[in-house]
Amino acid sequence: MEREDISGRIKKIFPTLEIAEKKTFGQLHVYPDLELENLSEFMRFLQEDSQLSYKILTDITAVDLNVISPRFELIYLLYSVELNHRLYVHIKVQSNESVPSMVDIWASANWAEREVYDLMGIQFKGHPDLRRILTWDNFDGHPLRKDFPLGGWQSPDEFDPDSVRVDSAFSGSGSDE
Amino acid sequence: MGIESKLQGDNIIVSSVDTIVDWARKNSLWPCTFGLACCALEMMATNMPHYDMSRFGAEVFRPSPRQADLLIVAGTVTYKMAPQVKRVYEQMTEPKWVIAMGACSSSGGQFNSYAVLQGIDRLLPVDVYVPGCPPRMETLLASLMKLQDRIKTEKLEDRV
Repeated sequence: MEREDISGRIKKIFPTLEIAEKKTFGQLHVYPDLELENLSEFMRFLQEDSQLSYKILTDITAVDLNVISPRFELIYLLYSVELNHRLYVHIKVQSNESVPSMVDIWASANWAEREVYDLMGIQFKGHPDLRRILTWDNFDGHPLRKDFPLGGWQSPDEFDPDSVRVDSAFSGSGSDE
Repeated sequence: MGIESKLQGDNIIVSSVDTIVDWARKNSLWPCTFGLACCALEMMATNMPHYDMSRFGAEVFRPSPRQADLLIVAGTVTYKMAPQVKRVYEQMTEPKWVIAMGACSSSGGQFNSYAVLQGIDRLLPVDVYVPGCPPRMETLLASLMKLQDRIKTEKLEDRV
């Protein structure tokens, strides 16, 4: 399988799907025009197909377009060891929409989706443990959104160390096994 | 060699308790391993043979705060980590000293944001601030020596 045939292979299996493509700096960015319910099926095909075999989910990231609707662009960074190819899948997400979780397909999606939830506020349906990962549990807001101020909502002089709740670090599943 | 060569005759030394105790404390400062970010690597490098910190008695980095008497806060202190830094400091037994190593722990450094505590001195009493991003190893050794000079002038009633 040559790298030039990758988008051809995707289009062959999903003939009704409109897929825009961009090849910037030799990288393949794919913009499938999907309903979010069908996203799992599309991703599972990318992971399981023997010719494509994108077995590694490197990261999930998101872009906040703020005034443009749909507000978020969710980007999945996939890597196929067999083809030695990185694929970037861009999905448009509305402001309060929730995206199906990829945890069943790639286990690394667990923390990647937690990070996107924490920093951007995108909810993931079916995620086993969707809670904040980089900020503390009772943090107010989603820091990487464009309307979040750099310094946060509270002034640094008002910081009270007892107000930081990080209970989840010491509790949660698996601690009593 | 050593101290025996200075002792002549009846070998009785007269000194004050403050002097002896301060001398013992300053020459055996045991740091607690508290590297948070990049400054931790510089702290480790200061402990390596090239810029040896064990010349000053501070080679034994204790993992437990109960056995340490110096807390070198090396690295960025985030708001999420801040209560844990305070816990470690409170678990240390007296006498204890704090060195804020690097720009991040002294004042927040280059990060003036929603996530970074603007200086560990908002939570703990700091004895020596070490500027730098990261500070050179010689700077950290100089700060250790400055702390030793400060300990030399302490009185026993200042510390229980």
